[in-house]
Amino acid sequence: MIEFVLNGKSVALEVLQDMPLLWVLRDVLGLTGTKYSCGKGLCGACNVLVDGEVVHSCVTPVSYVRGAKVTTIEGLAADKGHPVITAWIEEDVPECGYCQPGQIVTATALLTSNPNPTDSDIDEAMSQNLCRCGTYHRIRKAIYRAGELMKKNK
Amino acid sequence: MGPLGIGHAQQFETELAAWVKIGPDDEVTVLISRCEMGQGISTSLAMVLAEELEADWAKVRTEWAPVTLEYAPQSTGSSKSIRTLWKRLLIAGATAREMLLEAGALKWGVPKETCQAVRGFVIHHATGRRLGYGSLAEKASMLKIPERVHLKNPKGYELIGKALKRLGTPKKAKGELRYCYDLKMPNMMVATIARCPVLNGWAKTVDANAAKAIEGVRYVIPVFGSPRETIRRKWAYMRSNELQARGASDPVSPAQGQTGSSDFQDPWHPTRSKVVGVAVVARDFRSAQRGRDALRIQWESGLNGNVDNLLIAGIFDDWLREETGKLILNRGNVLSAEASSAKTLSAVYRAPYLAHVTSEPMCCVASVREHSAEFWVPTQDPWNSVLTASQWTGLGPTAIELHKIEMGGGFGRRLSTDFVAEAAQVSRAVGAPVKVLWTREDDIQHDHYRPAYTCEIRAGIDDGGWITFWWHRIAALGSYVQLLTGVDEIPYGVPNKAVELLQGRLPEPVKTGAHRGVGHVQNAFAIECFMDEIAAATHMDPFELRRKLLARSPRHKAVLELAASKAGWNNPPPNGRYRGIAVQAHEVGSIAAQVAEVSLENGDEVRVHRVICAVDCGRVVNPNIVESQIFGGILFGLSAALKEEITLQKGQVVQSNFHDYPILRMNEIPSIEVHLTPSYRTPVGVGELGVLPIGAAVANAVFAATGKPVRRLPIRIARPLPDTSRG
Repeated sequence: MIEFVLNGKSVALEVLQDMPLLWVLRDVLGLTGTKYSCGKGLCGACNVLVDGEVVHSCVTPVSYVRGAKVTTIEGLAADKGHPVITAWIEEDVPECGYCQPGQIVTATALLTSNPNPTDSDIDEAMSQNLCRCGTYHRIRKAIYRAGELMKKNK
Repeated sequence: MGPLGIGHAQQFETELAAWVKIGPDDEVTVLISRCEMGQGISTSLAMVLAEELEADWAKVRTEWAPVTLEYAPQSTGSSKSIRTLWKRLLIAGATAREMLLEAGALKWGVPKETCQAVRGFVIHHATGRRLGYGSLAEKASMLKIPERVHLKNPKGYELIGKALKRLGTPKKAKGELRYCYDLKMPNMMVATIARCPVLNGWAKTVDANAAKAIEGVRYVIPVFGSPRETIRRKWAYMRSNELQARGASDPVSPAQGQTGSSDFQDPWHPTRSKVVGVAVVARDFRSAQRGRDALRIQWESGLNGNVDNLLIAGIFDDWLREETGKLILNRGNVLSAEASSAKTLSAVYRAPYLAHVTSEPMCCVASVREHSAEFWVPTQDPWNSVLTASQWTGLGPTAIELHKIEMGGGFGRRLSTDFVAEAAQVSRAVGAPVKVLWTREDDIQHDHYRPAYTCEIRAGIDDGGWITFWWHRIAALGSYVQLLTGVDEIPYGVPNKAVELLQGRLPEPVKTGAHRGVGHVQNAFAIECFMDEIAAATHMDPFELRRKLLARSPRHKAVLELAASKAGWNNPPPNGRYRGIAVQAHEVGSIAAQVAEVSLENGDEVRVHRVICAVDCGRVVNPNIVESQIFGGILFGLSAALKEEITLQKGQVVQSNFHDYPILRMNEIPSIEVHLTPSYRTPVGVGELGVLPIGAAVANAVFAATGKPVRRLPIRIARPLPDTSRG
């Protein structure tokens, strides 16, 4: 039995300890906003927050999050007017959109720890997330805009 | 309330395709016949129709058009959607508008000419009456469809030309869009497939006992090769002769290749006896993966077992040296021009196989029943998907219901339907809905690759610096679209020009397919790099040379000049930076010129700082979407130019995931400026345009930095040889 808090709600599951968190989220819990794209922790499409830190859920065994707080894109989106998601919409970032939940999760963690990131802070944080459509410029703009929104909301 | 079905009679009298539905709540639904892979086409097409309809954009939605002939062609590629549908959708929108106007006029008993359509309302100004489209739709749908409609004066466009946001953005930003990978339905199982690591090989024996013992695994199903692959294997006989003649090590004898048998028979197609993959069907992805890992398969490499990419490249070189190809284009007389040429230059350019690596790997859901089937396919080619499904289920095309799904990236990969064939077979075998998932490794190792390409360009230059002849010889395996588009798109005013395609007798050892930009990309790289070699040989500025040669092509010249002036071409670049310029036109009629500014880090690392891109794509439907497509295209092309290469060893693709097939990351992107030239021409697509010139623009900047021409992609600067003198 593994228990953790998912998007603010406690869950208790009978699953294999070594099952990657990604597949627990997608196949067991039915939350498909977190994406599979590489399965090796190389692209960031599966990123989720565990106690506020970004982890690649595709290479994280579910046992790792025992007792932790896990936040997925669904958890962020439940906050209507979430500054990062709002900025993403205002900058019209997504093309195909498949990598964007992971991008938004990574950007949220960045802005939470550093509300005024510089270009190189953004490069450092966001270079773990691949976007094949090439939306990187808009991602950068959206992160700046989200930073502004967070300041206004305070 | 019935939806308003509207067609048009002006161009196609018999056609009555419904492009728009208007609900009683005033909601306008535009039917989208093309596929959405992130390029934003559903938003742009809806804008075109909504413009003439005088719709309220806030009430516009889209819906996929069914896969029927009245909406053909639905295949989405080659940047053709806007060009193909522009007029049809304008007319469809105008027709609907006229019918709504007439319905309003009838209702009020006033002449139609006194009514006006404004943002979703029919208005009678004289009496101040107004009715929303929703309340007139049913009446309008019963009216006779007008035979002729007037289109708006473009000066009055309210939507077209506006930087509107994409309709699907909020869903994507909240992670709510369901991709094929995310689909779930009752009784659905998940399958992953073990495929022969050697391309075009097959399974000789399969031991599935251990796999079946894994918890959650339900079935192990053989997957058969397509008829095309059977043909491929017949070609393999010829290939083996050619490879042996060229000294391939340890050649497989033709007899062995022909008799390599399998333990399976396809129960539905006894002639297709080659098992090319083994599917493990399970309750979830993880179980399927563990089952797949437990399979014990003895693969038969067949005749590809000795093929590597250097061997293929060597064969291309031999063809260029020894053989005469097929003349694809022959203007003037290159032979006599070459004989009388004062100065002749030549160079050989090379480009590798490339993978697509869409963010969402390949995926398909099939539910095959006895007399009908449903498919959920993220496809760029719905009709071909139906045909493939039909072929592999044995059901007629009309018994197959295809649900188009928005794709997690396309780039040409999803014009192929190999994943549909797999899902059809597996679902048919297990008699339940099955979702076939590809891993990233499957995706990179079993792609339909952009063909490898080698070409030689020879050209003559006279004393005035004009090009007297141009002979472009292409040695590569692939289709004409993949290899030849872009060979003659830039009008440099060459009087004698020939394009020759050399394909020997070697059938494709590698499956190839469309890749964003198709042949334009390799050809623009070769042509535009060669232009800089001509400029160097004639001591001309690369921009001035192109400008002079494009003197009689005002559109191309204007785009080139715009890029150069925005880049400040005539001022020297900052210290340590070097500039390269390139221009290319797409066959649909769009043109892009780019200036790339690069520096060399640590002597051999290319860093691109800035790309300035000028674009002429006719009238711009949505500058927001055009801009994002050009940005994305530039990064896609830059990724290929700097990083990407698929190589083969013993018939297997060496690369398998992003660690050895790296694509561009956030910290590697240049700043990009896009400048759109104002135009009143019919709009044309830009999905591929940004990709085309970037390889050459960067290569030419590297040429400027090193003094050595770049002739190979991806761009690699040779490190100085290590000092070995001390032993």
